[in-house]
Amino acid sequence: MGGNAAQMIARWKTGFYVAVLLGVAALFLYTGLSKLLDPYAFAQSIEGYRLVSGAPALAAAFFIPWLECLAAFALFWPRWRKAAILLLAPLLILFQLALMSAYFRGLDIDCGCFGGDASSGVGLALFRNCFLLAAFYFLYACQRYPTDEASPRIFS
Amino acid sequence: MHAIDLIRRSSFLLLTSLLCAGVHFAVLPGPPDVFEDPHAIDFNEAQGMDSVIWVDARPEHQFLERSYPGAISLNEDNWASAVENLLLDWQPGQAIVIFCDSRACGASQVLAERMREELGLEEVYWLVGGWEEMPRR
Repeated sequence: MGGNAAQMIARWKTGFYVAVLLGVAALFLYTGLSKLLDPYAFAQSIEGYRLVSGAPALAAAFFIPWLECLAAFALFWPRWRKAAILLLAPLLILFQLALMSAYFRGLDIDCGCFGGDASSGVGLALFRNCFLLAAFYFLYACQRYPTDEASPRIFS
Repeated sequence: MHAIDLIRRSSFLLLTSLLCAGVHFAVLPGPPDVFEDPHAIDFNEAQGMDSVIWVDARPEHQFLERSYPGAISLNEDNWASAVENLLLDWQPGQAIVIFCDSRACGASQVLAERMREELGLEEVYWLVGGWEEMPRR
């Protein structure tokens, strides 16, 4: 009986881990691809934060979506997962700092989270990123214990 | 995973992203010209018009803080009441120029389109660069 309960908990943990992992990877792939479709619109969104403009904004507009896509893709492979988490989490913290700065300066801008077409406000993006940061913490914590059942292989 | 391995993999992802971004930039045609939009207008052009109604599409608190002289506050939040006042001021043939916060805000474009569609007004323009590029008096 106790063994069955432990197995069930382990299965739930694994299922939850996989769901979080797929959710985070899918979200970053989607945001990355949507920005890649129109990097110039994303550069405009970056300029809207009034932190950088011109060439640095354009460079970020081309670089960030590729990093999001490649790191999101790397999340699917266990050997690459930790590296991907360690790149995406600081990127998310950077986004969060930029969003907070825009929020406290009262800037009326689109967050630019999903490229040029889909609009999303700064407040909503701040809220959403808190959940994403929690998800990254969870994924990272599970990675620290490679023998834990909650760190399964999606692809071998 | 050893730290060195982790650094190697992270560096690989970073460098690959950088490379892809460089290739992407090299092969992608330049940025679209906003002035291809017939309803986009810059500040000097707008000022050169005979008669213009300036519409501030930024949030109310920003309008109250500071705005362009004579501008009317109109945004998605106060649309119903503000549009009535606008139509009372508007004379046939008079142009309406809408501005929002900056080059990236987009609210002026959306509002200009809404005015053309819902109110049937022809000469409604959105200001490229927005409030950020308007002279402060």
